[in-house]
Amino acid sequence: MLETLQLGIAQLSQTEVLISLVAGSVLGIIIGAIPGVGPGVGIVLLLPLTYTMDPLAGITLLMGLYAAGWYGGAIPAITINTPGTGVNVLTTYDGHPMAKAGEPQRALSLAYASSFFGGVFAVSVLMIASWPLASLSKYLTSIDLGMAALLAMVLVVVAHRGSEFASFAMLGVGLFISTIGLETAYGSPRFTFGTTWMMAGVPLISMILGLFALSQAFTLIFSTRDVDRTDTEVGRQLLGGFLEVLRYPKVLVRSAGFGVSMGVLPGVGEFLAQFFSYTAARAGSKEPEKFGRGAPEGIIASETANNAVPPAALVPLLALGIPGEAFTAMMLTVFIVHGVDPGPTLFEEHRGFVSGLYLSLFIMNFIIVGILLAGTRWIAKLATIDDRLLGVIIMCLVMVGTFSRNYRLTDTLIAIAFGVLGFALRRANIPMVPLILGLVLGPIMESYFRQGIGGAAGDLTIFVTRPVSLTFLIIILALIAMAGRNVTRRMRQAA
Amino acid sequence: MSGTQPKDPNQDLSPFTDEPTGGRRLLAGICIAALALLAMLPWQTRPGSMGQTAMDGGWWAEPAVAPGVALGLTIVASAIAFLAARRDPLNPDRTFRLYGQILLIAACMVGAVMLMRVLGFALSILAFSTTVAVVGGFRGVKLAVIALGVTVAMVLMFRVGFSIWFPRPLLFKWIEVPNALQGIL
Repeated sequence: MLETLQLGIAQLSQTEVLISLVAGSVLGIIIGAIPGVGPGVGIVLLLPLTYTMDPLAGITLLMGLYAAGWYGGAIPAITINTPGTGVNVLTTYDGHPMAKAGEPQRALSLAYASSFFGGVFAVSVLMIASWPLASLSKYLTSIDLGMAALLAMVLVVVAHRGSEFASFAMLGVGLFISTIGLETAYGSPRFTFGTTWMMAGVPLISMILGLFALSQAFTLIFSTRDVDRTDTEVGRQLLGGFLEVLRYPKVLVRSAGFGVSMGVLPGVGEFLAQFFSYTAARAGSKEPEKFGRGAPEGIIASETANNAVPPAALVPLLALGIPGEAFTAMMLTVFIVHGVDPGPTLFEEHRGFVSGLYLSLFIMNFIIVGILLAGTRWIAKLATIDDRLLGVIIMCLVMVGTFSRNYRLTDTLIAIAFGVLGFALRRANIPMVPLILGLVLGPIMESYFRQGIGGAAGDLTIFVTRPVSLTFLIIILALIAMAGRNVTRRMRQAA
Repeated sequence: MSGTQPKDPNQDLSPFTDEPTGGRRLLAGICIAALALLAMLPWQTRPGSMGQTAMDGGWWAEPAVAPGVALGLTIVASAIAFLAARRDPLNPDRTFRLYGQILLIAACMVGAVMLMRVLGFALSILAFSTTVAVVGGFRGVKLAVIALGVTVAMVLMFRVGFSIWFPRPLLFKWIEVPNALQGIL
């Protein structure tokens, strides 16, 4: 145990990792504090850079951005009633009224303290849960792991209530695109249309940059959002909330619990976590009528839950090698590029890496809070940046990011094609996350199923004779049946 | 010119208003594209045991299986989603104008990437950021400040900070530029 900790400290003390830790935290706060950008776009833009970095430094940079983005998103939610990221919506309900009532410092301080508690709690759970889960996963066969990947995808799809089948269609698109290029069993080309540049498959970075970043830039450039420049003045006293949150221990622990449990489950994530936390906090409050008018429990519930999700989302990725949502799917590509295989073997072969990652996630929360305590007054001003200017900046970053990978025009053309597709999908409210999961998980699932069915000499009863696979299969079929029932009900109502 | 023409009431609307946005058509397009790709499956994949190796790896290892399953899923799901989606009459003028502007930006991006081999990194970024800022509605001093500011930031980040290499532009063959600046511009 002590030896593993020492290995982790050695990994963490590398200059590149330390710089990534601070840079990820700073960038995450800034990106989170600017409404309309969000950590997703930030992660996508930084992804190409992380491929050339040490794997721990790369993952730390992305995780810093991911976690700090949620912290930073609370600032505009409280000061100008505009959530910096989608997951800070519920923070506006009580944070902004509290700020308008003359207590912006108190609201921000409560948000920071709650986020800190949620983050530290979730990292502790990650440390405790992923090792035993990884040990158990050693007993899983290829078929079990393939079914686990399929279950993760189906969970993500059915989480998009109201557009389940559109999500399935996007998953299919992602899975199909992931098959383009030379396949591994026979080395024969698939859907390359006789070209050589498609032999290596459609470049993932160009696709992700197009889908997430360029489509967002198109959205921003045509934005008509009115920027509220009469922002609330923020003072320096931001430590009070760290004592105040302790007056609500039940809300803190329950919300962190929701965040962790929802974070571990694929497809559920921050939105449902904070919704459940907020509802439970109001139900358990002695003054429920204050919710929506500046109740401290409202801020605590929302911010604790959403900041507990990022570390928890790493549990299935590290233990099983299966990401449960788009951000961790992108992080999986960093592991793959560096030849680090997440899953059962990670904890045996890369103990120092795992330990270093845990330590960096833990320390990250202290760094983020330190930056916020020192710089909130200036960071709050970022929320008033014009959306169209952000659009210009993101487009330039996408252009350079795609071209500088291979100096090929085709990479830029692919990013543009996926950018236009992403824009159309955003406008039509069709989710893109299943597409990304299909792209990343498709080759992994195909490989597992080929190995598993091959091991059974083509006998498909292998799916029902293995208890773990059978359990996953029953859950998948039940989820699809539920999605079908929901669609039928909606069609009847519409008729 | 804009002063002489009547203003379109939809001109200033965000592309993300509550009005219908063509999701049904998009799903139909995805379904048709997937059907076309499925029809191409026999030509765009080769049976595993043909030509590559004498060994038969089994049906599960056939290269056509995975794309076939993925396309099948796409067709069925997009067809159901299409049937379940509400009918949404589009505003064709607004849609064409919006996508026209997006295609203009896309064309400028392609042009800027091609220009990098002629004008170099900094001038291409300057041209591109100026065009996009104009499309975004910036004019005058604000436009100049944004275009120059973005260009300087990109040069500092990619050329100075990360030292990313870009092809030497033709411009430097025609104009004498100090070596130190060539590495940045």
